[in-house]
Amino acid sequence: MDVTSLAARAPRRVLFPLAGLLALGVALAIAACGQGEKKPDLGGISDTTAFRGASTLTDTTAQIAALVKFLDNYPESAFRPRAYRRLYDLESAASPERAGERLAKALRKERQVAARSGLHYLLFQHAAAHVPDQVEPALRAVLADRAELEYEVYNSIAWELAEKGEHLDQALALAERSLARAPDSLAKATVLDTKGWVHYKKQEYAKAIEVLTAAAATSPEPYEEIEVHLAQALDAGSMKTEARDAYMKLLLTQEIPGFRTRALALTEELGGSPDELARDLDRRREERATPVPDFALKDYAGRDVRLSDFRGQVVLLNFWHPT
Amino acid sequence: MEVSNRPALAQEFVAGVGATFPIVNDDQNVAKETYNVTGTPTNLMVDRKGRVFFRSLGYGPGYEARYRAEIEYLLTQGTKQLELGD
Repeated sequence: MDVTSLAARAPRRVLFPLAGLLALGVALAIAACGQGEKKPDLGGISDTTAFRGASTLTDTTAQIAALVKFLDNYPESAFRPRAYRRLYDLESAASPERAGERLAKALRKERQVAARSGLHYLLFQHAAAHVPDQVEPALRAVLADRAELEYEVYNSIAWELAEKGEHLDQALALAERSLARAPDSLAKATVLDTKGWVHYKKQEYAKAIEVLTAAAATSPEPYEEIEVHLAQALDAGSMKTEARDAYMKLLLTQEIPGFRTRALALTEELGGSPDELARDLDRRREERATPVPDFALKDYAGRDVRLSDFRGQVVLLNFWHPT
Repeated sequence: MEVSNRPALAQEFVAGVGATFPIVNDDQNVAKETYNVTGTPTNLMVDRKGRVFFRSLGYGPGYEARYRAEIEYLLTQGTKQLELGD
């Protein structure tokens, strides 16, 4: 999880494809980081083994020392961003100030792009959580870094600023930087969504609508978050019919807090009947619903469980796996 | 529905959470195939009449609020259906 949380916004949704499940654990980390370091540098110990060894130590002080040593000894390792993250988490529990200083010091000499990207993100988060007046300098440092940082980092920071409604001009600059580096149309759509949301937060609704519409058109597949944002931008921009229709489209697949209320209110403002709209919505959701097949499996105490045991109740089926 | 094919690890987790709802082991991929699950987390919501009203893959900020809204909708709809006698 360290890897995905380091660049929280790409992919925005935490998701584990099942194909990779058989070889989870370290394999997952390697897959997410790209390639592990191929050649074992020290006494035949690979970076994977060294990082695993360091990060599973139970004593905090020993783990910190081992992670520092790991960072000194494996300058190319794909685990460097994770090592910095873990080091920060461990140290900041005792002293956020010391943990922050270590990040700043590390950034001065770190050469690996992935690790620099991770450090910038950690420094931003550190400032946001502990030293608010350092947020501005942290953002300037991200934009001034001559390394081509990973697009996810620009995007994640821009997104977090948009969500908070703070430093929105820098958020826009970060989104632009991310957009220029986004590798494919799905990534571009994600970044355009961020950019549109920054405009929304700046109350530039016409621009928000324009950018979010472009985001939806850029995505190679239906992208619900963009539609969620676009509906709200249309509403805020007083495009009543379009907003109502956008809310309705989303409400056909799920309830989203506040959306039904807005769709009904807009219908009334447009001279329609909210009651009729609500009935229409219920009817269309029923039409889309499909009969659920039964299953019979055992729980961890060996008892039989069937879905049909719960007939007459509302059931949530959650598919998960341990990491 | 635990779909990792790693029952020992899952068992440890299940013992730790003390869930009040059933957690089943799907290490033979029965449910995974029945419901065409391609990744985790996948969530399905079934109404009182045994129909799938909601399906989602992945997780993002604010999803809990959506799950809650959807469950509330299905509970309300179920009550309406009972009142109407169907």
